Amino acid sequence: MYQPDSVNDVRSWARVASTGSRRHARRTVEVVRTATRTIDESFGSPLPDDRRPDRLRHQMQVGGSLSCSRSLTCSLTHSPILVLHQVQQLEVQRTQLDYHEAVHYATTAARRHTEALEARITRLHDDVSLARTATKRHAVALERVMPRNLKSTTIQARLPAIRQWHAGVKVLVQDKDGRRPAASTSPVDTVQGRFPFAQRFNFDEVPLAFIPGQDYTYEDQGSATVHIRQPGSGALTKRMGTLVVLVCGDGTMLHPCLSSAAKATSRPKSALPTTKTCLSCSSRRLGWTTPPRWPTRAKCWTPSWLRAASSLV
Amino acid sequence: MLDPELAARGLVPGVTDKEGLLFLDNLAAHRCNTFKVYVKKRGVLCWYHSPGDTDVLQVVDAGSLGAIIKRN
Repeated sequence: MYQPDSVNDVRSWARVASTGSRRHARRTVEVVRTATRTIDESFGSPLPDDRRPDRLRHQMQVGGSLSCSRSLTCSLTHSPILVLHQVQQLEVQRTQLDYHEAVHYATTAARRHTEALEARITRLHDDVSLARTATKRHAVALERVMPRNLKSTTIQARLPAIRQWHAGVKVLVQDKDGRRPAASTSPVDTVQGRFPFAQRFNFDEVPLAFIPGQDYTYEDQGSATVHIRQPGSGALTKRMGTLVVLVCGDGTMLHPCLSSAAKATSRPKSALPTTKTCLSCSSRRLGWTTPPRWPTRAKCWTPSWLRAASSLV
Repeated sequence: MLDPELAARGLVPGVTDKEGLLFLDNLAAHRCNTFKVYVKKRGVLCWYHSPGDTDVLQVVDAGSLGAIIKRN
């Protein structure tokens, strides 16, 4: 369950606020220094810090007006240094208020964020419970989308055909009369038969579906097939490529070949089939091997006299 | 894909003293005439699995790379 890190949020907000406060304080210090320098110049000589309280009392007793600077004008009854102290205190208070306001805002934002997340999680829980109720009511189950055995008949029902196929293979391997005359004259191995193990191959194509995270979907309970609709345009995303695996009878697995669904023009040079790599790649329009198309009408075209002759026959 | 592997085992066009056996399933691309002629020129005999029994007879599906991919 997601736990919002409100502390980090507050700190990030506070960090920004303190940066602004530091900038503001720096500007305030510059103003105060300028005003102090102006006051010292107006008195004729710089005042040491230890004598400023005396000077402050003296100004409080005498009173009068004093122009501190162009932007800062003191009142008639107060000393400029006292005004400066007041300005300084006000600036500090303002800085503190800015900081507290930023922290308060950040805390409020974090609290609102947390409340929104909690409400969302609550809605998700409600949706999940609603979905579970609906699946029970309508007899819908979570079915796996990826390839599975879709055979309707059992192994026992298919066993005679499988035995017959194996018997045919046995007869074929033990046959001494090869199709080729040169091969039939050579002596047949008593163990390996007509075809040596190194010359027996098994060829299969395995579809590769690049649909991560979509292994399951909802379907009626007990349904034999699961119909899915792939994301994107078209259904080609169901099979983005085909892995062609070739196994030899002596136990060696030969270089597999990957046929990807891509145009030949967009195929990178690195994907060209090479004998050095363990996987040779090729690209096809559909991503799997298809039989060649039927001859086009132009190739099937026959002259009129031949068509007439064939019709007569 | 087949060409270099068959050539490595001496199954090339023009050689008559060797024979090969190729087990295939009943894919349309395997049963087309173009593929049959290609394989026959190299002295390889195509032996197709019985229809509907590929999941039992196919060696690749019974524990090799193809089975791993199909199950995962």
